[in-house]
This record gives sequence, C-alpha cells and structure tokens, in this order.
Amino acid sequence: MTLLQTQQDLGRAKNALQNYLIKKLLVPKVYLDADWDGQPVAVLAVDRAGSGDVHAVQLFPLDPGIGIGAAFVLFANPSLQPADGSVSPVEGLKSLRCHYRYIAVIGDGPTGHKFNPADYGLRQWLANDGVGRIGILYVDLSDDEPSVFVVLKAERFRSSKEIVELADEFVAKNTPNWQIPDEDRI
Amino acid sequence: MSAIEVRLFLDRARDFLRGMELLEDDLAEYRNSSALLGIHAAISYGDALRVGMGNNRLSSEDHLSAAADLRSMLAARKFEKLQGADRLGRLISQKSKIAYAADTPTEYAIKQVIDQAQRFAYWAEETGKKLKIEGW
Repeated sequence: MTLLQTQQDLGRAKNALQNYLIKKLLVPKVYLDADWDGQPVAVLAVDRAGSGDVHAVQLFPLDPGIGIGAAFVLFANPSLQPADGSVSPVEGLKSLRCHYRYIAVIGDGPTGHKFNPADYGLRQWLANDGVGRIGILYVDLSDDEPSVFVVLKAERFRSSKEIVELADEFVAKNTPNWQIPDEDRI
Repeated sequence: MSAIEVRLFLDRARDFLRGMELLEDDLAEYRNSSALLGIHAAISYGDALRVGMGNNRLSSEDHLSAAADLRSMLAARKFEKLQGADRLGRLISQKSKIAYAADTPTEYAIKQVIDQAQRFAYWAEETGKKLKIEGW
C-alpha cells in the first residue's frame, strides 16, 4: 500500500467516525486532526453546539489482512508500543483531558470476531479511579461505504473545570469541519 | 426553582430531538412523527430559554406567542442573534399542519422541518450557554 493510499484510508475512516459522532451526539461541532490540549487528535467532537462534553477519537490502523482480534491481543499486551517508540494509543488516551475517549481500529474487512472484554484485560481500558472507560470502535473500510461498529462502549470520564475551559477556548479558536449551519449563513 | 425548571425543559427538548433524529432514519415510516418531535423539541428549547430568562408563566395553550415572547426577552438583554426566535415561530406554525391536516406533507417538507429543528436546537444550545442560563 502506498503512502497516498494509506492517507486516503485514514481520511475515509475520519469521515466515517465524524458521521458516527454526528448521529450519536446532539448538534455537535466536529473537528478533524485537532490540536487538543497539546496533543494531536484524529477526530474531536464537542457536543451540544460546542457547549457540551468533549469526545476524542484516536486511530489504530491495522495492517492489511490482520484481524481485529490481533489488535485486541496487542492492546492487552502492556509492551505494545508503536514502532516509533511513542506512547501506546491506550496510554495516550488515558492522559488526554476530555469526557469520552475512543480508539478506532481501522480494518479492511468485517470484524468476524466476537469481542469478549474479559479475554483482553478489561481493566486497562478503565480510568485509574474507575470513572471512565475508553471505548473501542471498529471502522470497516472494505465496503463501498465505510461502517463504524461499537466494540466496547465508552463510559464518561470525570469532568473538570479545566476540561470545560479547554473546550471553550478550543471552540472559540478553531473552525469545525462539521456543524449545523449557523443562523446567519442561511 | 428556575434552574430545575430549565433542566426539565432542556432534558425534554434533547429527548425530543434525539427521537426526531432516530426516526429520521426511516422517514418512509415515521415522517410525521419525526417532524412533530422536532417541533416539540424546538418548543421545549424555547421554554427552557424563556424560563431561564425569568418567564414563570408559560402556557401550553399558546405556543404561537412563545416565539414573540422569546424574541422580546432576548432583545431586552441586548442579545444580537435573534433569528432563532423567528425560526421558532416558523416551526410552531407548522405544528397543526403536520399533526392534523388532511393531506400528507411531502418528504421534502418534512426534511425542511427537521433541518429547521436541528438549526434551532443548535442556536438554542449556543444561546443558553452564552446567556449563562442557570441549569443549562
């Protein structure tokens, strides 16, 4: 797969995740490739016209032909590190300040795999204090229209004044990739 | 008390809006229901804003005056984006037609109502936050 093809696949996955969040949330603002709290976030949504909870999605593309089951085995292994030595996606999300956090596994076929969290170390998806769980999504790019499946439901992390202030500042400074058209532009 | 009432109307508005969006996926079967839920969502959002700005005498019988009341309350606070109040009026004016008229609205007309309801919800969410309405 060429670099261009990889970029195109990632872009299609981001679009599919954006559509998923638009359907899941109420009139959200959605941002692609956001710089949130000093970290790059693939898809970021702020619910309720930018006044509600913050949802962040990071991507985990699978190599062609690798099933989602292999991805979970890797996630369950604490030694999982990207080849470049950067922080593992799960650990990166744990330190991200926002209300809902997701890993989106991107594959080129149906999951074909029944996910049983107990088989893969459920606790590593939880916040240290138990308030919040990282959600797992699966994006299937094999069809003409990409599909998003919920593999593990996300649970809300603890809110804070800092998160609310971050969101207000972010919404004020950035132009969303998607939002309900503004009144004045009709 | 006002914050609790705001919360009640707001929860109802979001509930109706979610219902509208759920049914929107199957407009062939639920077109009137989806549109009507959108209009009720707008009414509830409007009520939440009005209660939050101090109107304690909402009347369920007089939805048509809700838009004018909302507009005058926002204007009194020198709030600039008043278009939402006009949109609420247009949505409310569709309510009887969708609920009771003998003819069936076209899918295009229904989609217009849904679109307007979403835009009103977006405006209302922004407005409630900007006005720092207690309970929002």
